Amino acid sequence: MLALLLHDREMRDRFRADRSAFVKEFGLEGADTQMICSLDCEQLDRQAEGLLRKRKSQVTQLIPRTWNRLGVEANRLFRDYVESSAWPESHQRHALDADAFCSFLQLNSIQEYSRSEHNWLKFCIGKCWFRLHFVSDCNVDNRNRWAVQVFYRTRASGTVQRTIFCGSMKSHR
Amino acid sequence: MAAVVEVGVVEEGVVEVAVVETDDLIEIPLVGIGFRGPIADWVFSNPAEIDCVEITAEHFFESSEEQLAKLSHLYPVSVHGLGLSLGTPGSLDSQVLSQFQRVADSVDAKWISEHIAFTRTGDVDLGHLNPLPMTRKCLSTLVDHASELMDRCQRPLLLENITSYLRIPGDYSEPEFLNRLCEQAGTGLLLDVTNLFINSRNHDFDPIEWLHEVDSQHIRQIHIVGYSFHEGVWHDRHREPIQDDLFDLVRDVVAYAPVEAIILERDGAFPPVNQLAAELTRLEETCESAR
Ligand SMILES: [Fe+2]
Repeated sequence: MLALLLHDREMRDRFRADRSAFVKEFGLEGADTQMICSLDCEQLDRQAEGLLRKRKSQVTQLIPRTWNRLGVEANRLFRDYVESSAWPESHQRHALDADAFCSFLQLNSIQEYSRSEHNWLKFCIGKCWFRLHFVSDCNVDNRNRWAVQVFYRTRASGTVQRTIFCGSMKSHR
Repeated sequence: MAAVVEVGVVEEGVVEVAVVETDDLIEIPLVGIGFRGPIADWVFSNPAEIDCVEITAEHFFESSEEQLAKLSHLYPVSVHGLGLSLGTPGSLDSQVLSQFQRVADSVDAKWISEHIAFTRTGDVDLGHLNPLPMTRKCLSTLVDHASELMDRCQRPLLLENITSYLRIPGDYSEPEFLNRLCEQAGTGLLLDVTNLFINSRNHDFDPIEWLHEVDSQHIRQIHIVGYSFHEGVWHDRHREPIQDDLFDLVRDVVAYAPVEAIILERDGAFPPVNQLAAELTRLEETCESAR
């Protein structure tokens, strides 16, 4: 029940509004009732926000360019995404979370979605040894440029990306 | 009296050093850092400031043995878990457990560690660490899971205190719960001094009193990183340099308990490596002044 309260904002609102009705509705008994009823709603909200903040912080590190492009809208969009999806499982959860957030932006035709960054993230999550993408949103001097993205894996360096721009080449890991 | 050290030149270019009196030699904890991508090159360059390294087990579930072997040749390694959710009733996730064990074996881990927390239940996966009620029931779940993890890995297990904005009433105080847990499960305590400091500020208690309620023999390792303060609340963002009051707390802990290692646990906003090196040096000096 504690986990559900931390997970679901609507449940916290119902709990806040009427604790005894909440306890009855979910059939809580004995020590569990005591424990749940003694919780402080403000602390519950803060803990739930803390979870969201940690989740968001991992995603921002994985897709910094997309996040910066979203600017002041980033937090609202991330909250909308979280409320419309389940938290991915497995030890790659943060990368899968960032991937799902990118897909959410793409699906909702958010202009700031970055296909090139999403491509790289998907390559890192996957097991493929080599991949090529032709994209139009590789950023040079704050301008989108057409480019070929070349991704590969080596034993020594792990994942490597090279971006071939029209007339110039840049590489970064 | 200081320890007596005899130094002699055996042959040209070879110096023999022998410690002949060890009574007053002080043992200083190893000072190390959490291994993260942005500082990987620096860690692999084996700088003098790093005595040991902590790796997050889940970050290496997909990686080759090569990278792990490279690390273990350079340092004693601690393997730190995030996803075993030791506080969740029922059996541990066998797949995660096997992967954790593989990583620990690959680096021949000197210590393994996990959190006194739950991240998921049967109904919902919260993804990050959450507090447990300090009850007999939770204690028994943690003891069972800690024992299972230790049996599986056959390495010393240290359990870590977490930050929590939420206080849940239970059968024990936090120090009492930790003492019982370490005694019954045969584990040590990984004391995150930043988490202790943050909880003491957010929930208004004295961290030194708290510390002295924990049996000193349990405290085997320390985590530290700077805290942040925003809109009246203290947070563990793992992105700030260590503040002076945390160095003071480290000194108190090291003076009180037989700490074996201190790990700087920075996760983001990495400064130039010379700043991290300076933090590690100051931690070592703090330990020297405490012992
Ligand atoms: Fe920690």
